[in-house]
Amino acid sequence: MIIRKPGIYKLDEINDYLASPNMSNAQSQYARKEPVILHVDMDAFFASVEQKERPWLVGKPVVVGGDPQKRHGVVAAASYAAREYGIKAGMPLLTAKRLCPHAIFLIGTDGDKYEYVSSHLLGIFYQFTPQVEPYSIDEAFLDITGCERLFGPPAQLAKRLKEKIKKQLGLSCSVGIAPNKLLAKLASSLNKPDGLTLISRDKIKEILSPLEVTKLCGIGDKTERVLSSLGIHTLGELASYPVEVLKRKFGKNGEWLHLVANGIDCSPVFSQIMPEKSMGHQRTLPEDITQPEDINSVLLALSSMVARRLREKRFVGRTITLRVRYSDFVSLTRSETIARPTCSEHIIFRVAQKLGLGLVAGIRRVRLLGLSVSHLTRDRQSLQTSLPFVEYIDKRKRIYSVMDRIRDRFGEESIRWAGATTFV
Amino acid sequence: MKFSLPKSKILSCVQDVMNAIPTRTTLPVLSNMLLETSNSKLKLAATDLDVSVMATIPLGSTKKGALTIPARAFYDILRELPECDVEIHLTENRIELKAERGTYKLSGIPAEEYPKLPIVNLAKEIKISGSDLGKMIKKTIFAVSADETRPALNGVLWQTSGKDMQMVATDGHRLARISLKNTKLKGLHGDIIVPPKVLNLLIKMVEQEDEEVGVIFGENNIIFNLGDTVLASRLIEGPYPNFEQVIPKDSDKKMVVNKEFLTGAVRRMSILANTLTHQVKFSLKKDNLELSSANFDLGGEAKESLPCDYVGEHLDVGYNASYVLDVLKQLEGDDVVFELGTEVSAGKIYSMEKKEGEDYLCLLMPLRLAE
Repeated sequence: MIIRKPGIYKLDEINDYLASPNMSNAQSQYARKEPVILHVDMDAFFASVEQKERPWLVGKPVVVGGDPQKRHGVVAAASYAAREYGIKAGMPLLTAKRLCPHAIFLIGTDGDKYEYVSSHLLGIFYQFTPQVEPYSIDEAFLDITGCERLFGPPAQLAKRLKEKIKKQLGLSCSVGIAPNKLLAKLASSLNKPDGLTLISRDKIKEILSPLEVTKLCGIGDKTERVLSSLGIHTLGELASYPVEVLKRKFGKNGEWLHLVANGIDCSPVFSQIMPEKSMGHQRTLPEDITQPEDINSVLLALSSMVARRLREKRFVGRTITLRVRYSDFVSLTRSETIARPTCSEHIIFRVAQKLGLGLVAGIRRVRLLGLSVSHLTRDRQSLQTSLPFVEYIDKRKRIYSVMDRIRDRFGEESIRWAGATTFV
Repeated sequence: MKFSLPKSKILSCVQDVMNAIPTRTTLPVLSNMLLETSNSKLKLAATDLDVSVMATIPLGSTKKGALTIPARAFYDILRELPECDVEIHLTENRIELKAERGTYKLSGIPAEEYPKLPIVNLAKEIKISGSDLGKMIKKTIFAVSADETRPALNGVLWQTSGKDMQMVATDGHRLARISLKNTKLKGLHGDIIVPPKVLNLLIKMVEQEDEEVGVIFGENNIIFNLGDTVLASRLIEGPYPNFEQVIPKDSDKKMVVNKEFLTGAVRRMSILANTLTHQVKFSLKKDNLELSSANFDLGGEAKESLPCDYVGEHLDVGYNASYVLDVLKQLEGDDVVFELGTEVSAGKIYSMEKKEGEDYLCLLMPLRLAE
């Protein structure tokens, strides 16, 4: 959630603030410096990366999707040419195919490639400001307050940023500039693709009023339905709607709706890497499984992936959570907390297996399995050396470290436990 | 049956026996205390199935009888009573206490449902000096491991061989070993691993310096006879790992430093040490020990220089401050010796002062210094 929920300001304060003749003057009471937030959103990211790699695809309707064989059969990204046919991200591939039969479908493409481009992007952002909050694989917020002296006015900085991305990665992006994250995200979506949109404080009302409520990040279909039953369709209508009624209808969120409709958002750009609370992996299986040995082989593979990530980040965890989704899409989770924090796949697997017994025994068909470890603490054991007792040489620890090194060099799938399934 | 005892007398016994009552248990009868009268004696006992405590109080003649009663309530009543004679009346399933103006009744569980307590076979008893025993326990027990994956390390190894006696404890990161010569254990040979709980109780109860403790080494239990009170514990199954092989041979990197100075300095370093690792860095140069620590969360850094005797080459080594303090606390004499190897090998720590017939040694594994 990018927008801080209400409770930061008292509502009376907000109303006074809105009623004041010059809002930008009132603002100065709350913040010493007018914040400048940039939202950068790549245009049709996955599709553009593919087009960059295969230039003959440029200008053609390109659809990147998950592998239907692995049952990830939805559209991950569609090029702008494809969007003209009404293809949207998140839509089943079959629907896309019906809308545009001659589109080029790229299925089950290489996820690592996108990660790589994404990390490169992040590197470019850091050349402008250290205050970067990655929001998804192809989106980020940048706090560029006070960067004018280095890079000139915000719009100029944004232009340079766009040029740099174009030059180094050959990709286009849309940038929004605004006094807060909420509006910056909105701004970047207003002129896509390759847009640069600035929402200045005095234009907020003018820009927001005619827009549909769903344009704002955080207002989805569900909220929209309730709002439209109240006769609210545009943000302008929402902004002037009595907040008391909204509060009665939506509870705490009512206040929040009132604020965002007025373009108010106080959430900071989280530039620090947040301490991780849990680590996990989940997989939709290529086909439903029921046999305990099949389930165990998936659990071992997941345990191994989670354990490796824990070791890589030097964490150990105590709570192991197993998530199961059955073929009827009913999901269940079970967790267990163990006495000693661990980063051993054997221990994680043993617990997962035990949890699995209760969940998957019987005839229900399992569609998805997920495993996560939480209650994380820093692995202190890795720093504290141990007396060299022959009896206690930890063979497993040695095996883990060798496996980790092999994977570092030759890739994640280069070595695995014989009993573990492979997801490739 | 009926009998009467002064409150303080019975309370002190109940207090001892309470130590064996488990805080949580799946077997309800274990939160009860067994009361038994026979042969003009009152026996109080409790067990958590690992450790048992039994106390006896002499009585005038009374009838034979036994009952288990809720220990906590019994203890709390006695504690709140003023000093007076308490008349106790045990029936088949109830206990009644009469004291001054009050009467207190509690329901019990029949004694037959209580687990069997170990039998004390006095013929096999060996007497050991209580102060020797207490000293050996105190100097090793801090190093016992709490990690349940290595059960043998969850106790103190007690080795007896002829007149020599040795105790060892280690958690894999540090080790403490104490050997005493010329103890009264004649001709006894054996290794046993004793859980720390009974040893902690023992040092609490062996108060007088010259008191002798009767020890009965059983097949899979050990019994300490303190006269009125008897402690028993199951033993931990071995084998204990071969600890001799991890003790480094003599090293030339020897540092001698004043114990008081070092203790004070390490305590101060630990205030600004990393809260997870408690790392204190020992930087050894010729006749100079520099200690330092850093805590990035606090933005804190600490540094202190101490004079010492050291002639080896320059060495930087990190230790967990609390481990260092645990060891320093047990060392006697004014000066301590650190015999060091590399920055990742065991440091040997002992007192400069040698005592006749006693050998005490600690090992400490370093923390890897973070770059």
